[in-house]
Amino acid sequence: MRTLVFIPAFNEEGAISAVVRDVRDQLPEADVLVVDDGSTDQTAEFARAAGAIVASLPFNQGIGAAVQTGYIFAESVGYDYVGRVDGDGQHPAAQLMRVLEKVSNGECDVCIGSRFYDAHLHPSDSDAYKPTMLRRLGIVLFRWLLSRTSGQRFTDPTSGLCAVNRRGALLFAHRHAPDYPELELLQRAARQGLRIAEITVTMRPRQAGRSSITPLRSAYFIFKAVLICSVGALRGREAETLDQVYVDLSEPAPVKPRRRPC
Amino acid sequence: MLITVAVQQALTGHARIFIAIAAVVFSLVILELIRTHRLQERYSLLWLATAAIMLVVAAWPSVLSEPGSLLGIQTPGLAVFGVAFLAMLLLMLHLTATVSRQGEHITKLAQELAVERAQRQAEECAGEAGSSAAPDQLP
Repeated sequence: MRTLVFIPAFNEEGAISAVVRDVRDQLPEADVLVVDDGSTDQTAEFARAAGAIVASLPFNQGIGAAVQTGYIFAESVGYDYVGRVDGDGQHPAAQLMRVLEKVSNGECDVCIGSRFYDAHLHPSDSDAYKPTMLRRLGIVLFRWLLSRTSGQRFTDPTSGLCAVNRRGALLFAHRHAPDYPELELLQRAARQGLRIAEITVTMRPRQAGRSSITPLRSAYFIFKAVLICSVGALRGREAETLDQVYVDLSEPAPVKPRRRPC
Repeated sequence: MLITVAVQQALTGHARIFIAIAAVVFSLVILELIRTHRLQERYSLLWLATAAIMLVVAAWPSVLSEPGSLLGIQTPGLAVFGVAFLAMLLLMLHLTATVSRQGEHITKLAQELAVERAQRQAEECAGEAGSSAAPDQLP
């Protein structure tokens, strides 16, 4: 059984080396792919130096396309499990390992590392992730929106820390979710009948660089999120992908020999 | 009949000459763009049709009375703008749909290039690692 951990990154030269090394230390068996989303700094070079395979998009295409690229790569090579962490260092690889385990032991097709799944677990943890008021508000809204349109409860719908098996990877590689890969992919997975689970994880504040989300853009983001979720709820189940999605998981992923990474 | 007369009055001879000249200049610009490969034929057809409609309106302004009354526009002058406005809206919608489709295509191309690059890099380092690591991993 082969595992890929991919890291979408846009101008994260300050954090990317540490993120790659963290993943390689914790998951030595896994291949590490950095999807460099048209960075203008040295993200790609640093990632390669730290031992990652780098998929460089020729120009910035946005988080949705970068995330999909990770799944496309996973599909084209043939991995059984695919994990994702953010490139800014807020997702400790040790937490991803727990999320991956949940998928690899067959409990679910998609597992999300949630910051709020059990908020009482770490009330006094000073390292725990503390979102700002505005972001907390956004998360509450997204949570409600996603629950309404997917028919399933999610506590942390914007978490980028997640793991999928081949079913999830196939579905997520199929069509890209331009603006909110987390929201839209979860909605799609729920509507396709994939088994989705959440576990509590602790996250760090981002280690370097700036978040792409600014308060000014928030209203626009929220409008788009409402539109995306509503339209997504109106879409029918994608019958043609459904056949592919129910792959036999007892068989390891077929590996294309010429295309296997080291 | 009344509307037809009114439309003819709304477009004075002056305006009709102006529209005709604009249509001719417009057509010439379109032809030049096609000649220099800056406009694809499928769009040129659309624009040439627009120019042709402009010429028709200049020659026989009464053709506008029918769509005008269909829209319930009583002021004939407004019918000209009403029809043109609707046509522009449709055209813009078509163009944004085209831009969206092209955006998807560009994303797909970029992704395929990125995946290709990553696979090449992976193959290269598999080659560097030598034959010791690779065979026992092969199925």
